[in-house]
Amino acid sequence: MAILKCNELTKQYGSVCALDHISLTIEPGRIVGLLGPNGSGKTTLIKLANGLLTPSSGEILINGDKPGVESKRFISYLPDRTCIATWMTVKQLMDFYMDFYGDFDVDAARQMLSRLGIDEKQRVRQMSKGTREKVQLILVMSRKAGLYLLDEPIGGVDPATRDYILNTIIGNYNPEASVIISTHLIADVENVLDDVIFINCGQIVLTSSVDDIRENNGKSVDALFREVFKC
Amino acid sequence: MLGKLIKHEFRATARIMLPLIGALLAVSILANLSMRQVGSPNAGQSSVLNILSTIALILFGVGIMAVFIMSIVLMVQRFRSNLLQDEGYIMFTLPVTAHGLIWSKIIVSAVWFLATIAAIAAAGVTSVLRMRYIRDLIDAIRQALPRLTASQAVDGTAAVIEMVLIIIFAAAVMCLIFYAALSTGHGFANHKMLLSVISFIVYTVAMELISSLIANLFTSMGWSLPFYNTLGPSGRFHLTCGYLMFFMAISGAVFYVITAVNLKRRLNLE
Repeated sequence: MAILKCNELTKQYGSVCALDHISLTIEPGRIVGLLGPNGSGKTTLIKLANGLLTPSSGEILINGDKPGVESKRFISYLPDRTCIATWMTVKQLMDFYMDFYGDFDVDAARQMLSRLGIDEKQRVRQMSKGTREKVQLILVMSRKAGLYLLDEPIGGVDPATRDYILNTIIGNYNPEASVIISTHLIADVENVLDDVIFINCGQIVLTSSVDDIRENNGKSVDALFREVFKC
Repeated sequence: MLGKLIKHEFRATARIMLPLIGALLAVSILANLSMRQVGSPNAGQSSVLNILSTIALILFGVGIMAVFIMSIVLMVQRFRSNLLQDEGYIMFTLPVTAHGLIWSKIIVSAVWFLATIAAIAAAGVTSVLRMRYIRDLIDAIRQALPRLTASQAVDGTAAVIEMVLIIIFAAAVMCLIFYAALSTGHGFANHKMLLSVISFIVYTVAMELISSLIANLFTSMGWSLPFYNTLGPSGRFHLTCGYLMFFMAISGAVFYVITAVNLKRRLNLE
C-alpha cells in the first residue's frame, strides 16, 4: 500500500490556488525530496498530509486513511519553525511525546541529547535557537513512525548544523518508513535522497528517482533544479 | 487521550496559578493581622505598624484582583498560544481530535475558575477570621441543625448543588465565548486579534439579546403558567436555576460548535 497518495488534490486560499489538482504516490522505504522554490506549495502539501489544512477538492490518503487521529499516529512531523513550548524542560517534552506517541523511543532521544550535551532539566527558553531546533528534530526522529514529514529541516542553519540534522535524519529514521524532506537547498540533501518531486506554482513538474535523473539527464538534481526553475 | 491532554494543560497552568493562589492566601493572613492592628485599642500609636497594616490591606486587594484577572488572562492566552500560534503545529498533529483539545482547555480553565473563587472566598474569610467568630458559627450551626426539617435539608442541598453547577456552567460558557471569538478571528489571514475582539463583541451582544428575548418571553408567558403559581419560593428558585442552566447549556453548545468548526475547517496557522 502507498504510504502517501494524492488524487487530484487542490487547495485554494481565496482566489489563490496553492495546489492545483496534484496526483502522486509515495511508496514505503523511500527518502523523497519535495523540491521547489519558495511559495511553490511544499508546505501546503505537508500541512494537508498532517490534517492542519483541509483540501478544497480531491483527496489525500496516508497509509490508506484520510488525515485524522490514525494518520497522525502514523506521521512524525517536523514543522518549518520551532514550535516546542519554551517553558518546558527537555524532560517534560520527552514525557509529552511519550504520553501521546506509543512509538516514541525515549532511550534513542536520551542518547542523542547526551551526545549534544543537552541537560534534560534545561528549559527550552534557556537554549539558543540552534539548540531548540536540534531538540525538536531529536523528538521527531526518536519516533518509530511510518512517515516522516520534514518541512525545511535545514533552512536557516549553519553548515555544521545542517550536517548534524541530515546525519540525525539518516541515522535514526525507521528503515521501513518513508521520509519526505521539503527544501529548496538541493545540493545539501541530494546525496541522501532516493526520489525527488519538483513542485512549482502548486503543480507537480517532475517526479523521478535520483538515479534516473543522473542517468537520463547526465546531471545532478541540483543542476536540473536550477535548469527547471531558472528565473 | 483526554486525560493526557488535561494532565499537560494542568502542568502548563499550575506553574502560574498555584504560586498566585498561595501568595493570595499568605497575604490574607497578613491582612488579618493588619485588621487586628487597625481595630485594636493601640491603633494609631505606632505609625510604622499602621503603614505596614495599610500596605498589607492594599496588597490583599491587589492579590484578589490579580488572581481573578490572571485566571481569565491565562484561559485566553493558553488557547491562543497553544492552539492558534506556533505550538498549534504540535497540538493539532497529536493523535487526538479537535474536540479533545477544546474539552481539555474548558475543563482545566473551569477548574481554575472554581479554584480562584474558592481561594478568594478562603482569603476573604481568613482576612477577618477570629476564634470568637468560629465558635459563634459552630454554635449557630448546632442550634439550627435540630430545627431543620427533611424538606428544608433536601432543598438546601439541592440549592447548593444548583449554585455550584451554575458556576461551572457559567465558567464553561465564558471560556467558550472567548474560544469561539479567538478561533473566528484567527481564521482570517490578517488582523487576527482585532477580528477576535470584534467577534467577541458580536457574540456577547448576540447572547445578551437572545437571553433578553427569552427572559421576556418567559415573563410574559412562562411565569403565568398555572403550575408556576402553585410553586413555593424554593420551587421557584429551583425552576429559575433550571432555566439558567438550560440557557447556559444551549449557548455553550452553540459556541462549542463555532469553535470546533473553526478549528477543524478554518485553522490558519501562519
